[in-house]
Amino acid sequence: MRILLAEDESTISKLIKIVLGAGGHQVVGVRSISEARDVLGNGQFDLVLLDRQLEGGDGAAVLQMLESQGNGRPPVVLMSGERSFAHDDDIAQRVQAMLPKPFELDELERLVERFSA
Amino acid sequence: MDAMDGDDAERYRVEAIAAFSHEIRTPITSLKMLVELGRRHGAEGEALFDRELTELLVLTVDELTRLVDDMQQASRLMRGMLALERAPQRLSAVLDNARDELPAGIEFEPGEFEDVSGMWDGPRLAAALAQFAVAVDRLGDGLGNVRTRIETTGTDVMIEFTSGGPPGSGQFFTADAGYGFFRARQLVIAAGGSVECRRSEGFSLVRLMLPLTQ
Repeated sequence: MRILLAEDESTISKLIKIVLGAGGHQVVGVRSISEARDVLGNGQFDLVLLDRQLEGGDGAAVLQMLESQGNGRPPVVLMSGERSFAHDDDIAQRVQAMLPKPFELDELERLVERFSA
Repeated sequence: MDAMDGDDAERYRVEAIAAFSHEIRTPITSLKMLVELGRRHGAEGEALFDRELTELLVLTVDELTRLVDDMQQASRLMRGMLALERAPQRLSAVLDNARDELPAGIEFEPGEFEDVSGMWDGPRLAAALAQFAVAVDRLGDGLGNVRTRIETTGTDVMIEFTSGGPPGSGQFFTADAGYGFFRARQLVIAAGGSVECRRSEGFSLVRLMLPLTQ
């Protein structure tokens, strides 16, 4: 699968790329809202792993970009189960799965497998 | 000593717990993944960690250590056990030191301002200003160019950092800004100052007031 990883923490991003790369997936990493906008404008993805906090703002902005793609949009896994104090919104209902941090590697891999089936 | 008391101390204790618990999830997440990768490698008869993973492990442990040290310092600050080392400081010198502490890709340019002097803990104040600029950029447009405005009254200096636009007046929560921001705000409060924050989609503002003398 081609996976978009929107995560601004470099260590976590590297580790996820190592793990999912070993599973044969192509992972494209972005750290910021603007990077996500550029990458989404230039390619298609089979799955999005989205962190709530990104450089330049809230990961919900990336979710909005994806929702504007309509029915062709990829499934989204939100890597943030904790509700930020700042956001009393419905983001949990707008994504296909949640992966709260800290998560187990097995959990991440099972979720990716689920969406590749 | 500069202790916080009463309602302020309680509010900042609550925010400290929220900010710290939010921040510590990141290195713990990294450690969990690293431990599992090491376990898998060991099960396959390989070395637990190659060079890349070892470096990531060291970085992660260092990050955890830094967080714990920060938390201890914050606790001492709130209890008045960490004395601010006040000395006459020129504002221009503090701003220059703050800019030196900024990570690559983030900058602020103060422009014209009255170069006043204050009785401040210069190194800690510089570190705090750098943290404010980083937080403002992160919660603003993320483009690294933080706008700065400085004004002085007879008794205070106002330093304002903004990023992005258009200006909004939504609420700004410490948990979103990160632990560094929380620590910086504590320091300004302990020094007798105040911090105002605002945020909206693509915009953030931090405005601090610092007493020139105390």
